[in-house]
Amino acid sequence: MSTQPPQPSASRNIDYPEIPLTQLDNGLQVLCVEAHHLPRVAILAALPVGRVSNPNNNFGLAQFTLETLKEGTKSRSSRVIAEQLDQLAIDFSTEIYMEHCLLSMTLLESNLKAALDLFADILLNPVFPEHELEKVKVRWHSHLVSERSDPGFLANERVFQELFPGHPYSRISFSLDHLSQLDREQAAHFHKSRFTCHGSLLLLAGSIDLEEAARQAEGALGQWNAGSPMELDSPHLKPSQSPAISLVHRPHSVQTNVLVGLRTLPQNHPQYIDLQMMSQVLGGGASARLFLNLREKRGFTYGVYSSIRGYSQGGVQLISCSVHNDKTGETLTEIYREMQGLQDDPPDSEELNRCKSEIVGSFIRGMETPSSIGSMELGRRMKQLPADYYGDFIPRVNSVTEQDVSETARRFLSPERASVVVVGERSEIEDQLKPFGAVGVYDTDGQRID
Amino acid sequence: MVISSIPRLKFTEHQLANGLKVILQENRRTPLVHLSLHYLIGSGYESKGRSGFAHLFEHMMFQGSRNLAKNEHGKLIDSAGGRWNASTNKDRTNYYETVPSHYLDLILWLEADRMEALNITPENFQNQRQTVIEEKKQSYDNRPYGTAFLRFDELAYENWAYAHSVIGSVEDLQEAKLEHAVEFHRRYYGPGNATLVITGDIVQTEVLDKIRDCFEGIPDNTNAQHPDLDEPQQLEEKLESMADPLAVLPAVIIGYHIPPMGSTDDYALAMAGLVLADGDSSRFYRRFVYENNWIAGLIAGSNHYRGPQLFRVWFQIQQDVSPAKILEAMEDELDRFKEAGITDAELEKARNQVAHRLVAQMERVSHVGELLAQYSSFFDDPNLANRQLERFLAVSKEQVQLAVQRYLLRENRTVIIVEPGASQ
Repeated sequence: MSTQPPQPSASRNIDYPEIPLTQLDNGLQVLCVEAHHLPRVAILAALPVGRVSNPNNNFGLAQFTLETLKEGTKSRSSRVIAEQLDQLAIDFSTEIYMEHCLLSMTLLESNLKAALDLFADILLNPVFPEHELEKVKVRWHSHLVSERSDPGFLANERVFQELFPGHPYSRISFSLDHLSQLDREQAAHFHKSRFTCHGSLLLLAGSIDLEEAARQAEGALGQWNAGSPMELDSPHLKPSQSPAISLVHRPHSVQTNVLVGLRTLPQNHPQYIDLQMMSQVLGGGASARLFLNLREKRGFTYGVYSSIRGYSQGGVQLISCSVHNDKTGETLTEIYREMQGLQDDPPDSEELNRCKSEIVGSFIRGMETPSSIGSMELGRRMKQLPADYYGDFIPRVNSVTEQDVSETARRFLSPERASVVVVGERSEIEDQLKPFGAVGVYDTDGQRID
Repeated sequence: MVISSIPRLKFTEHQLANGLKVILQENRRTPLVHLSLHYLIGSGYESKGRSGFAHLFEHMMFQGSRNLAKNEHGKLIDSAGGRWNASTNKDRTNYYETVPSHYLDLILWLEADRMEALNITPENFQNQRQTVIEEKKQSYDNRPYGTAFLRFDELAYENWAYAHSVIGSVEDLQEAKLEHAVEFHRRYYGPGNATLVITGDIVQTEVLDKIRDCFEGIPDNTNAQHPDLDEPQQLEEKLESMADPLAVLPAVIIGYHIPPMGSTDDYALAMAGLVLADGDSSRFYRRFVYENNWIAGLIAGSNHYRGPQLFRVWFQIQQDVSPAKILEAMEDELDRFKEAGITDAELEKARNQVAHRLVAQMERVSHVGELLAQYSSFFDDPNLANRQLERFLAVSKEQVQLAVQRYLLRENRTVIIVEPGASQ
């Protein structure tokens, strides 16, 4: 065996597939990712309803409505729905994002017709029975209480409040108070006005073609109310508040969660790809600068990562890690050093090429299953990204230069722009934070206590 | 449901002269190739005073080898656009990479390189010791219920092999020595104690030659001492309560001793688990959630050990409900199960769920690779991946009932009750 690693052979091309689309008479757009190698189909519906759709007096309504669709329809009780889902071995899930939501079912192809009927019934005919909603509210109460024991949740909640003050983007969850106000009427009204097929997409992925998908969709969802365009009542972003350190006091913590947040660009911005590259160089994985420094050199943490998310009006970059309590201050120093370092010391071609390969590799793995391609396509359309966003993705990644990365770093990565959140045992970490600026202290309920 | 339409995995099996088992499975849909390398070494092999060593050693496999410096291994795969990692459990340690298929030669070379020899410095050893201690905090000590999960096997198992945790104790990790790592590599990390599986965009005939080029020259010096996993029969219930200052809701964890993975009763109990706790129509969900709203979370099933397993049930309990009430209601449900068994509809439902999951497992080359590697290294029979469905379908209603009657007994269980709040 050679002492040098072998070179790659010739690569096989991979193209983002053409995803055909048709429209039903009611305006619903139906897409299909066809692949017959396994007898499995995914039904995915994306609706333009997200956390930003919540009214100002209740930040839980969209999620509550979405998640209680399966609590009963005009013809099926909650128990009957549960029984049918399990009997047909259907995995059903719902997910709410910032600006859209997703309902999905995966199943064996032989159950497609029955599954689609059930899917349509849940989506179109929910009745939100009072007695079921009361039970759901008890469970959600526990969920909302118990997410406050998770340091990662507490850090994210605080950082979004700091980055997007007063804007719907600032809310990643909601309060017990809002939960207690939720009721049947609100859910039913919200469903009627917002869960329409206008702007919604249905995608079938797997062992099916577009023609059959459209025929089946017409049968199940042809009666879906077209609705009317609904403006997202989303105020314009205000500047982030002056940077400060937020300390969330979580008693008895034996480790400290550090989260550094920065406001960035919306995902449809042409320079979003530069941001993605900059984040990858800084903290995209185990070969990135932050990981090699904080874990492999210093042993402060099990892992440290940087990631970005984009919305229609703006985006965020998040740098996160859980560190030894005594190393909280040093961790911040090193994160700042690496942020500054990327401005002064751009990646060389080897480092940049590695990061390009990482991004492209992850994109290719995302195309391995029909349903993962389907999710990418629905996300692209809901976020109104260009039609060639994925088709042209690999060349765009490869066109980013060292200079693009350092310019992006200079624009976004200065520590003065950062909102820093630290979650842990106050008595062990507060003094370490003081050199970095004023420290605001919060309890695990999100209330400022100091 | 047309269960016969579920495809079967086609693969070939080989063994090199030095003992390395090789399995190749071709699937050229996406230009991706997955490599999975299982070594039969896990925390179950550790002696007292060395807890956590198998996992700490897993970290060492990225810290330098005969031809590469620290972290170069991962960096080369990252530069290829691949994904890589490793994991250690009680029975085995696996290393894996998924890369664009034109990088197959690279990942074969990389695995052969670190199988042949490591080159770890004292600094790197110390660095990874600290990293693992932080990993323990992040995964257990700083999480609600994490301490209870670490405690559970200690209480349930009498045999040290499975009783101690994979992550180990901080005291033992502090005592770990670099020279132990050298000996550990020789004893366990050779071709005779390994299974190599390649799945995805490959041409089988070409790959075998490449594997020979990389691995055939590595001598087998392994001398794995496979642990005695025998567990004495438990004769009375074990019960502990603990306070968890990080938890906000009470929880109860229950574990029943059951036979090893792959046994007939294991399949019957897996079916029982589906009927009891899988999906919103399952018996536990109906009783504890729909009818009474007593719990906030529920998980049940075996812990997937090669040796004596536990059938575990985890309830996260609503604030004003007592754990005793949950245990009582669970006993009541199990009594009903033991007396009347399951219905035809429940059996059918469980079968459908199994069939769907088996198909779902075939979607990604990485899942197929891990499945084949596990059946090959544990049972020397990768074709069990294809026989799973028939093993499940062979389970009768009566067998499910008998398995529950036989194993899900009070005297055979261990219980940990977690109450929120600081200990007194």
